[in-house]
Amino acid sequence: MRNIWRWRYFYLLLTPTLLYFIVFSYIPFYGVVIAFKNFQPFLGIWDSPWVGWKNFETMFSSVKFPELIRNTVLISIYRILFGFPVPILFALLLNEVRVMWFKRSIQTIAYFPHFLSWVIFGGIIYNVVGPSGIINLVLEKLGIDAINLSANPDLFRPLVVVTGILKEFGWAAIIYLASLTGIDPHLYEAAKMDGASKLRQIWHITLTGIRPMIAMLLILQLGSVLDAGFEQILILSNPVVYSVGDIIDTYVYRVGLLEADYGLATAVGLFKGVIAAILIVSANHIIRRTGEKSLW
Amino acid sequence: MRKRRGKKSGVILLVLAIIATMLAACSSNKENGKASESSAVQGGETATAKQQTDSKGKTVKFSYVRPVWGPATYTKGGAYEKEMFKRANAEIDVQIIPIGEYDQKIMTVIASGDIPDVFWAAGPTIKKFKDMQDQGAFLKINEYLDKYPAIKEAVPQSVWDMLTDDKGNIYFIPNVQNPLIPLFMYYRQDIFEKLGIPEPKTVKELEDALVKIKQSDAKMIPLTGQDTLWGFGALSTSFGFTQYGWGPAAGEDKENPNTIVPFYLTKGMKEFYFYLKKLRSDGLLDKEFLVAKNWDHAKQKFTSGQAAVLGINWGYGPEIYSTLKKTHPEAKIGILPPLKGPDGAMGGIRPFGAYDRGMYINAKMKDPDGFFRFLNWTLTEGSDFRRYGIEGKTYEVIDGKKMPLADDRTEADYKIGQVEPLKFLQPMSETLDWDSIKATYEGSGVGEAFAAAKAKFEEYNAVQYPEYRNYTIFSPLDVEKGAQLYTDYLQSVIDGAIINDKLTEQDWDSAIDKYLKAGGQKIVDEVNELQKNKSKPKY
Repeated sequence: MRNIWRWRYFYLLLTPTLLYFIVFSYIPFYGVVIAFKNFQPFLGIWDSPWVGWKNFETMFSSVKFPELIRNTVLISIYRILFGFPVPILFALLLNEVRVMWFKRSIQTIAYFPHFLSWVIFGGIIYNVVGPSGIINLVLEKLGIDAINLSANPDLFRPLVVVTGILKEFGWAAIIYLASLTGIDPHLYEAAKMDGASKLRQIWHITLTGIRPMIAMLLILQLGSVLDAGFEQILILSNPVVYSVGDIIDTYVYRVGLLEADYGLATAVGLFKGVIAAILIVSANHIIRRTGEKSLW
Repeated sequence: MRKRRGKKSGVILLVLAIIATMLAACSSNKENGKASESSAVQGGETATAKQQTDSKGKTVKFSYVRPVWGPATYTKGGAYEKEMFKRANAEIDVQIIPIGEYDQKIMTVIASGDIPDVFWAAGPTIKKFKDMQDQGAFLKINEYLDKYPAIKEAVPQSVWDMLTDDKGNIYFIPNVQNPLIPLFMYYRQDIFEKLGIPEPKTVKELEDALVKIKQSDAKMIPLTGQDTLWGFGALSTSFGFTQYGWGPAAGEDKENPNTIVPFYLTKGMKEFYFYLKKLRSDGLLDKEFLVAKNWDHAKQKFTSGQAAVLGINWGYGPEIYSTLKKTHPEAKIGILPPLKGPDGAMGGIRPFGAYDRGMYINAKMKDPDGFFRFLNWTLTEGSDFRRYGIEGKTYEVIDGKKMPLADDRTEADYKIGQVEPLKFLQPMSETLDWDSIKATYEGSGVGEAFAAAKAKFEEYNAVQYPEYRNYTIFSPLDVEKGAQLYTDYLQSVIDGAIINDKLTEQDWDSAIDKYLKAGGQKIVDEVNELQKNKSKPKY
């Protein structure tokens, strides 16, 4: 108690943050009961009738459920496999650039797509890969047959992963760049004295320096395996690619939100939350076991 | 010491400032909240006579959310809006949502609890809105309809009857429309003439014409259509079924069927979809059809001379003629007649309903009588302003007749994007006003095209493929699982049939079979059992 009084101004500074999380993250937990109700907006949460596990049954009994889980998990895994290393590589490359104006220009260009909504970015993508897009126009001029890029089930997942990387890699690299500034420059000098090449320095000093950050971000990303990028997929998909691109969130959007079945939407949200919690705890445990710095 | 005290004060001030900011952010819509509180007692009931008298002469204030079919470019405070507010003694807080996103967004708005005073919705033929009506969410309007007969008379009694619930209450003001809205097939008559192609009379002749166009000019898109499939509404009728609706089952009498089925269970629909699929794979149908995200790409292609045949709502006629006239002055536009289908079905029109969405009034609205007073104004003293707008800005007078100005001739503040958001109710009597339609053609500088459009309108309406289902009767299984069954078994097949090269007729049949077994057949049975009157609606 005495300690609390002693650090009272720090606790006071902490208050708004705590309030924020209580008001916006914990109190809304009350809404989770909607998952077990037939929610009627005008009756309110409490007066809406209870339906037990019916909303969960609706989701799990869907013949599309296995396909949705497969699509969601596959797209997320592809994102991690191909997308996770890109900002790290970009940060490492940018870190080696010594010409400041060039470095800043590249950084700005790489960040820029992050600030565009998927509606805008999706429109740009469509103008590149669509049936009358730039790629097909060029192919046509070269006398080559046009490629169906935008409505092709074989290419949809790669399209999602590549466009997702293009949009976010610059922004995602910021945290690594910040982490790189924390590495002691003396380590590089010492390595140079010992005759380490540039690649050796990157491997033994730079990458080692940002390894805790990489581990932490990997844990967080594993936790969102069931979030495969709703907005992006909604914008880029079309009925031809439903079999490979329909994810849990787009399905819930059509069956839950468009039909105002909020109970179903909440049930799926709760299911995803439980899976995410299990995944985060497991990933954290595994990383801790390997000796890396973990989240807790 | 003083420095330390200053630091402490700084910390306290900072914390207070952050908390104050959070509270300010959380307390938006205070005014709305107050309005709701003061009128909470009115939920589901009509306002008292005293309130109605007191409110006369006061500025009417209400919030209003509606969809827009035109460009979503509305900005508040425009000259048209100011003029309307001045004349109507009203202040309306308008919010628009593009039609493609409307139904989903309005449900989210409703679920948030922050409901506008007046908003558009699909109405009581959709179960979720019927439930909300029954829960007292919306204002009962019977008394206001009696008080303001102009509003009551704007809508046919048959529609009011349909909207009246089993207790005799009405909650919904329908956006009435003439159900007869043909979807025309416009074509480049000059190209057809140049290639010696006679005007097609059958679906087969149309296909042959498209092949010739493709052969003569590889860059020309032979056929394009307004997305979604509504654009090819005229073509769909040639296959003898009701697109996006329920119609007689195979072998049933067309006038008085015993069994009706949804469009995806008809033979005609399958043939129609695979006909379009074949056109697409042969390079005769626009490769962006159902793929492009902007629905009006087809119109743009036709009016910029890139496409030879366009399927689209006939209402776009003046715009299509006038735009093409500017980009290709040499072009001649024709309108295809209703085509005979492969099975001998004669093409015609797929009539729409008697209304398309409409307005609900929040039961907690502060001044409902003010809103009805305003609505009444738009149909009485304000009727001319509602129809034509402002002279010199939205219309001009030629030979004593009011001629609407085409959008490209109006100033920014008077364009469709500024006017449409302030539209409310159009009386049924005005929904098919030939003088007004003629004036629109003339105002767009294409008056010479009006006669042909009118003649084709009559020709298309001769054969009708209407909706047979009465949506005020709910099938319990359809309400509970209909959307999920459709999404699980049919959506990817139906939405993808035309554009998915890998999808075959066997896939289609298999999906339909699974759908029927999973509950689809029960929905059909329930609908047929509950809906006793299945005779063909007449328009």
